[in-house]
Amino acid sequence: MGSEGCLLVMVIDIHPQLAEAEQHAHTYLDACISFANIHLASNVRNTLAVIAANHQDTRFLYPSTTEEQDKRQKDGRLELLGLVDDSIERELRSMVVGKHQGEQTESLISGAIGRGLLYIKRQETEDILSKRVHARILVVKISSDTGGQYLNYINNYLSAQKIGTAIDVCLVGSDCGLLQQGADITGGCYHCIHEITELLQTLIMMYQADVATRKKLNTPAPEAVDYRAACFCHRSLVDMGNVCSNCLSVYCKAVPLCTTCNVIFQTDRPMKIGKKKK
Amino acid sequence: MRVDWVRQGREGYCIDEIIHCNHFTTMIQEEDDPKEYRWESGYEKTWEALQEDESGRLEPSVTEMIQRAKRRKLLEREASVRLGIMRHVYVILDLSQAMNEQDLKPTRQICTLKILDDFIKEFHDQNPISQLGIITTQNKMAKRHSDLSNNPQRHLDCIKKMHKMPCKGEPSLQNSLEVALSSLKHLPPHTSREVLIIFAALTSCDPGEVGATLQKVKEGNIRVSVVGLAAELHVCREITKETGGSYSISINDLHLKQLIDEHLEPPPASVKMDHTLIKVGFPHQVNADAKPALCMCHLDDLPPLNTQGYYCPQCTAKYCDLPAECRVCGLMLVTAPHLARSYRHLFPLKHYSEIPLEESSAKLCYGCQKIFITGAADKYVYKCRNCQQVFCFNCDIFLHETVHSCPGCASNPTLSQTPTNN
Repeated sequence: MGSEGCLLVMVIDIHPQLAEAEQHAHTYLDACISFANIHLASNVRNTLAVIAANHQDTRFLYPSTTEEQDKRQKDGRLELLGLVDDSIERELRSMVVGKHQGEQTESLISGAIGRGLLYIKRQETEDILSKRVHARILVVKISSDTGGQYLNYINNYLSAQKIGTAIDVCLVGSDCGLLQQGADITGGCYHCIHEITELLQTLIMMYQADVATRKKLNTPAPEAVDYRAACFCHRSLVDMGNVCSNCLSVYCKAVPLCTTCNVIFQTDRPMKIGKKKK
Repeated sequence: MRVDWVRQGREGYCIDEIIHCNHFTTMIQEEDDPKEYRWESGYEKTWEALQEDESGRLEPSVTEMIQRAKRRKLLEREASVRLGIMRHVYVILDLSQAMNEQDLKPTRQICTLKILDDFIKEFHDQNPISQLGIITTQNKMAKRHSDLSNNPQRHLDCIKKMHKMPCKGEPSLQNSLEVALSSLKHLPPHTSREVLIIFAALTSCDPGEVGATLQKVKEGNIRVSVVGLAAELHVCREITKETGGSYSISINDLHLKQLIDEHLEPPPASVKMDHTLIKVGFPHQVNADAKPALCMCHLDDLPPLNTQGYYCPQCTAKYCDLPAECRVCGLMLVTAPHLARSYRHLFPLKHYSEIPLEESSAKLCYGCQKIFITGAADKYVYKCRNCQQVFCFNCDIFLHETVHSCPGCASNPTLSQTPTNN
């Protein structure tokens, strides 16, 4: 935890499938908000940003963009916590209440991570007193992935790695290879739980410590991440593939024409006599 | 043979390197047509570029100039040309007597080596499937210090050793080009072959005619670029013109870094490049019958045996770090994120349209939530043409230089599913 604060950007998935079981939605949101409060209360210099993502939109829940009235704290706890709670509740309400058009596809987490990265970059440029802003992103996800946003995710991971931001991932439900790769690339922690009631406990135990403190804790070693690429024709992972030299698309077997960039491949021709091959 | 005199020492009134280069490059463009010598042209009043605003402060004017220069660089890069992604680059470093000069502090040699250090790291970061090699030239000879490889550690060790090498003698352009040619010409035709020469001397001592080597270089389809530290040389100008490379002279150390970093981006592909399918392996970290083994990249150091590492899918040799070329079977080993690092060049982020703050209805930046204040810093805001979201200047630069993917488009359910996401 240290004396310099840490900026925590929470990316919360509020996909409509949460609404299927009402109790689940309450537990889930309570856990997230409680964790945000714990983060702020543990060090006076900690700062917070919360971004919510559903299948239609992403929105900053805190710091909030809409005006609010000054409310005085009546119950004696830290004013900032009350402000955070109110802001999150207000913005969530306006985000969720509304027409839900279109099919319910995956949540737009990559967009939320992108906005979080820009917010962190702004803190770095504005905070001239400290040498470095320690920032991390925590992604709490409940819906499943289709893999159509691979490029967005990878670009975000590589930029997070460049600016030294770790992306921690806590999944409720099934494993997601893409997010696991992201946590590995940026040096974050990846975990998947199966019961939503375990969420708050997992968040406190595994994700409260920031990256510097984690080195002093005795955490279990991360398991090997599968970094194989998926071939463009079948979307299955390949061990050895053929890569187009123009557009870098991966194919599992030799094809005469690249479907992405429409370039015809020169297949092996009889070599001219006298020309040495490498 | 006409030599243009060096443009060093004309600092003028410059606050920031970008302002100076900004003004300087416009001066060069103006003077290309009249073929007069530098000292015959008019007085360079660089201080007039800065204007005070109403309160008498210079800072808004400076910020505006920096912003304009950065944006201009971004716009120049955009063009949908085919790029040579798989690059084989030789860096030819001049370690002749001229590198002992102290116009770059502490000496030209140390300054250049430090810049090359950063260049090598950035190069392997941005071009993970490309290969780099280092050649030095001194005492009328050329020596290959480090073969073409995609492991940055070897090159960095080489550079460290070069700090202590004394610089003496004369460089030889022909010999160094011959050394580079000897290994570049055997490469398969789908790769982009490049040579970057960092030249400080004003002479070159060659055993024969440079023209003959230049002809061979042209036939080998190699692109030669030169970054000069002293003055412009006709022979370098000819070489770069014939092979399609770039030639620039640095005016100080920051400018030298900028010129060398321009070569981090893949150049446009030459027309003669064939395209083929390259066999690539994606190693997995888990091997069912793994026994503790040595990793192939540290055969000389002999670290303790362990089972952690990446196993080549063809020959199960172990490597602790990727990307690598398998020493046993010759298969190129990369991971999917390494390939994805090159996608930024293939699927670039189109630049945003610049609109004045008054015309946009957005009150804050979509990315960083900064509230727009009317003033010099937020005079223009940037709007993505696909998702219509508005970003501030800093977010615009960060997105185009580092991230290469628009969060507005990623937050839009209809736009986020397209593969190119432009």
